[in-house]
Amino acid sequence: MKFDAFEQYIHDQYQGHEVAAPLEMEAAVMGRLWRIKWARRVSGAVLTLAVGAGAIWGWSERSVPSDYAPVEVVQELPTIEAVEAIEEEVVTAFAAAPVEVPAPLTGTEEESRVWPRPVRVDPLPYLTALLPVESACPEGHTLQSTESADQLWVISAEVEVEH
Amino acid sequence: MDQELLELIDSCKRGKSRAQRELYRRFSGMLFAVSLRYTNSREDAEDVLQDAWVKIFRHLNTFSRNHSFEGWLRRIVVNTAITHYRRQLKHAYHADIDEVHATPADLEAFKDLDYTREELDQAIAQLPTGYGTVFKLYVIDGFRHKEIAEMLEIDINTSKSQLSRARKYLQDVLAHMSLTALKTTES
Repeated sequence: MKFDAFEQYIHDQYQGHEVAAPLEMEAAVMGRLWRIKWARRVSGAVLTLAVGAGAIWGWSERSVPSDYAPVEVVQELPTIEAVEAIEEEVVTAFAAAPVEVPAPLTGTEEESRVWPRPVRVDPLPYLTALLPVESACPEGHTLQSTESADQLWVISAEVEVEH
Repeated sequence: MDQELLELIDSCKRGKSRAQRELYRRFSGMLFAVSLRYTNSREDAEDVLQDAWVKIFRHLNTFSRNHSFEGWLRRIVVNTAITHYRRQLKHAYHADIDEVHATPADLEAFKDLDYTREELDQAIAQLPTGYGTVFKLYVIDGFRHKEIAEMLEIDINTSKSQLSRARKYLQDVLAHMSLTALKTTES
């Protein structure tokens, strides 16, 4: 760079020239740098989370390759004749199978059997609300409460005795 | 570049707040003077300097140790100021290849120069924006025509012609100031 005398004179006049910057500017500059630094950190964290979420999603969506090559399978529908033959076979086999009839219980066995006690449901409030007991039992059947928790149906019967 | 400054720059690159404050305090006076030269008011100069410092710290990694650190800082401030006033400056420039050379008589007149910096400031402030900017970039801040052309987005020849015109204009202004001062003294 070639300066003439005039330019050199002016250049020299401004060498080392300084003007004190306002005191509050330092805090303003440092504050802006601090905000930029934190904005970068936050955006970096958000980016990392987004990438992580994307990776997890991509992993879950990835198909698992099979060790075996795919084989085409053709399944033929059975004909009507074949179905009928199978049905006949099943029916014949069912008819031929022995039927086991349980032996009737003797009196002692029947008495000794313990039947589970039914859950008590009091039907009276519902029945009396709908119909009177007498009209609900036109043939003389009556429902009587006993001292025990069970109800007792008393059914009238006619017994004819041939002489 | 001294080792202490290099270590300070490295600490700033690592984001050390204390180092950043130290670097700021070391160069803020010089850079504020630069900022004041390329803006029209003190308020504008403060805005430009603040933006420039943020750019400096954010782009410190791009600084090459082979270059002058002071020159790099100066360039960022000037570029920030130019960006600040780009529209205004763009209108001020126009391609003008006709150079105006100072005559030997002009140079003779400035053989015994004796102006204070305040007087020079006043004279330079009277230059049209385009002339003034090129003159300050070339003569005061030491940028080359190629760099000035890049910064101002103008042709190198335009930069050269603006400088010639600025020099002539400034000499006229200073001569007029000297004449006025002489008349005031005589009366």
